[in-house]
Amino acid sequence: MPPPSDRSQHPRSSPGVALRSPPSHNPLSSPSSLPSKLSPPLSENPTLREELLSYLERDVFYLEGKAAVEKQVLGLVREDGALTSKKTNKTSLRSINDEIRAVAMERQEAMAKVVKSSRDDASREEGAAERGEEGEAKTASEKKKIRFIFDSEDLLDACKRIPATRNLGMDKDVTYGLIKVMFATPDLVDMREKFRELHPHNLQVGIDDILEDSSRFVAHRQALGLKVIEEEYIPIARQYCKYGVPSSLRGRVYRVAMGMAGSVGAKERRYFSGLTNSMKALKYPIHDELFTMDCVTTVANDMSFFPFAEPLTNVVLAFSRDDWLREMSRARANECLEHVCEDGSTIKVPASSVHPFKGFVKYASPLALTYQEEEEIYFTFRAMYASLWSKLNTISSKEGELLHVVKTFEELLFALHPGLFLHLLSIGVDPLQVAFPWIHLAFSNVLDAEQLLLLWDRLVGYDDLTILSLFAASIFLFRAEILLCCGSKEEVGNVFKGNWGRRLKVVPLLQAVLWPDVLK
Amino acid sequence: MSKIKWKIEYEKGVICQNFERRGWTRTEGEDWNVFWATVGTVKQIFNPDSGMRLGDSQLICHFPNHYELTRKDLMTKNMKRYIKEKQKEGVVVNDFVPVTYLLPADYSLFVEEFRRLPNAMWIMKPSNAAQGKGIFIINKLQQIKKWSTGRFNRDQQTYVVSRYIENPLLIGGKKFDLRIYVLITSFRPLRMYLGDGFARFCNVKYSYDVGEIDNPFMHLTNVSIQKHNEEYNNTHGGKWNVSNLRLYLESTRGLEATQKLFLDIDELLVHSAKAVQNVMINDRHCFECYGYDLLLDDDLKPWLVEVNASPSLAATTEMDKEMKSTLIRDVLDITVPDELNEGEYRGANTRGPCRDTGDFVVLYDEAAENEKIRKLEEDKLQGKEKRKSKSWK
Repeated sequence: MPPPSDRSQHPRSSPGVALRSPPSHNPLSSPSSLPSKLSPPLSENPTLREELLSYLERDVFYLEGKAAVEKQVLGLVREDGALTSKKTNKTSLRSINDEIRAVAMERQEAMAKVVKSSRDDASREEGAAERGEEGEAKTASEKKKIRFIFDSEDLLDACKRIPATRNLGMDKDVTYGLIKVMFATPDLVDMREKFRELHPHNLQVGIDDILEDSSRFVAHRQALGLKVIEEEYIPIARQYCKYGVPSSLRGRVYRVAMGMAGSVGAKERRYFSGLTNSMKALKYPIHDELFTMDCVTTVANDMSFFPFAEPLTNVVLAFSRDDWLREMSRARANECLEHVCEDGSTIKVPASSVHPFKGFVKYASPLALTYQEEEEIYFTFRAMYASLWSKLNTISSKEGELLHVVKTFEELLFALHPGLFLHLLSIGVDPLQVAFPWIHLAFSNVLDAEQLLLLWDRLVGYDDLTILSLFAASIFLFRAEILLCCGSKEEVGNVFKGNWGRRLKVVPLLQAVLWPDVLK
Repeated sequence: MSKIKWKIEYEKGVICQNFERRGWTRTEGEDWNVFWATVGTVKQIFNPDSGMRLGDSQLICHFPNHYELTRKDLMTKNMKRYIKEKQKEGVVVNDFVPVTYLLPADYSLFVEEFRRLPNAMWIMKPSNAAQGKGIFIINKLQQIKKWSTGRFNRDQQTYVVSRYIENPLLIGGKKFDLRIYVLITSFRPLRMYLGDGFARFCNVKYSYDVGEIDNPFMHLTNVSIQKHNEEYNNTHGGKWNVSNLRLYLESTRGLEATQKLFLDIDELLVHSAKAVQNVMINDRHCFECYGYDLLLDDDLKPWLVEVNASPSLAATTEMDKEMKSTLIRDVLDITVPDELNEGEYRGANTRGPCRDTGDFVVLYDEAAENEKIRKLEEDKLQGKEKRKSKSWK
């Protein structure tokens, strides 16, 4: 990637900008009436300048002003952003579906295969062989090797392709980040308010339960947790999660926080066995193989989760059969394909409308360490997907969903350490390119199992994915010194290579980025 | 002060690197300060016929008669004796070694026990082999009758036969055992340090089916066996960190049960060392890093399978290399004092109370424990008087 020489002409890099300035917004997102905020860049478009100057004259307090500016200035931009991202989403959904259809054609397999009974199947195959139909008679070795439909990289590429919005007439980029669409993103002050339970003055599971005199805290947390489980009241459970959940209670607390009973009931078991039975009756040749391949390559190679390869495969396959997800996911990540059966009825493939991608099983793996039975893993995984992971897989500009979350990361990192951001750009590394796989898979590919679950405790508690952006930014800040010494893309790659994240501790990093003064 | 000199018999990456990083000098002669020797060489050195005497500033990595702990038959004998002694004293020690018989010596006793429990499975292990060689499982006397008539007379190889633990704790449906490293720098008084550990998984799902007892991939967790399975994975090598195990057990079995398990493991390790405390030659030039193999059953009870004097230091994966490197680093930090070369080193016991070092924590410091007890008793005696004088109510 050529050094962004044109960016150096950008008004933002003018000497008036201090490197460690207090958190600043997109230049368009706040009025400059408050002295602590950066002055907006000098616009080349006279009408825009007039518009912005008009805000200067208004005596608008910060919070109100922010909302007001959002409405008026960004309203246009955001609508545009919503439109363009919707368009891109549609394109990417379509392209995913096309890919799958293409793979199916290559291998000459149907999307779904109804298995009536083994005898029928065998006779059907015989009949097909006689008639010379290729689909049924192909042997496994003749089938073309299946490949993954898409992965984190592809998703990022799709996000990158979203064209910049009108940008209010400016013909230069207004942001250094990869995401060109403009959003109002929460800044550090907002985050401090939002995540105030993480403040160092509060005792946290993850720090305070492993210190020397922690027995009282541990006992208190246990007792409180048991009460929370008994109550079965979601807001209380979520509030409890914000301070971290002790591992012995995590299973049940997650279930309660997601709206289920503390332990798996008979109805749920029947539902799950129904799903596993439906797997025998209806096969998705492409999807089953993709999901299984994902489990085999991802889980089997993972140091923390490899013993659970089989239960996780079962969970993920059952997941693909569950049409509960079609209605209940907060965000529709993919579109179903339709398969017309012999008798004319259509089946949606897959029933859950979630297409497999590389690393999908990582969303479920930490739960294998939390629960003993597949049913337990399944229902929590399903609930977490519906409320959290689906949002990370949709290209949508809605607040709290993927684009917003990654944009938050970029803006936050730029605000906290513009020097690092610009340095990385100058050596050809986009921070989001590095951080996207982490955020997309909610750090399941980075952290040690225990720390990952501590992070997910907060995700469940706050029900807000921007904590992932915050954590990604905190990692960059933590490694700022080393990254500033890197001179090339390869060197940055070396910093984040292999098992680099296994020793990271989640809660101290979050506290350090939110309240650096308190911890000094 | 001259540099510390080290010697090694077989090139082992993690050991050589650790020595080199300290800036110590390598030597092939007899002027070494630290010798990472094999058990065979150690036997020769301590053989009275060799005429060799170790100097003050020489440390070697095995005890002369480590086999009291590391040979399966001697270990069994020592443990049985210890448990009986403790029973006589009225101290309850949880049995941590499965019922074991030595063959051919206890053959008739074994047959009696076998007949008493017709459905039990037994595992046959050569007394002095490693890496899972020669191990097989039986459930019918026929299976060893055939073997016994052939082998007993031919070679002197003795075997041990133990109750096979048929309900091992399974994770993801697979059997595993625990390898835990324990450093002992002295037996009298006992100084033990507990190191890192990992679980070694089988590649094949465990089955209670008797027909599968011939499948080593399901029952034997040795890496040297599992790596021949086609499912063997080079990335993690079937090795799982103990911290993950702990997290899983806390989540699925509860905090108390997990804490109890790990306390039981600590107890097991200490008892096993105490059992051989009085038979070990407590040469002050010696230290030893043992590889303990433990098996957990479904009731979360730890069983001692065996103790290895020369646990494998070959690294099979990245993480493995890191762990073993750190292990050797900590062992050297603990055992080799900086002033080793000044000629006044008098052994581990002269170095004061044990201290946690690196990833090793102090498991048992007998001298410190006795000191504590002594102090408590002293305080008790004095305390009574103190209380009297302090009563001003």
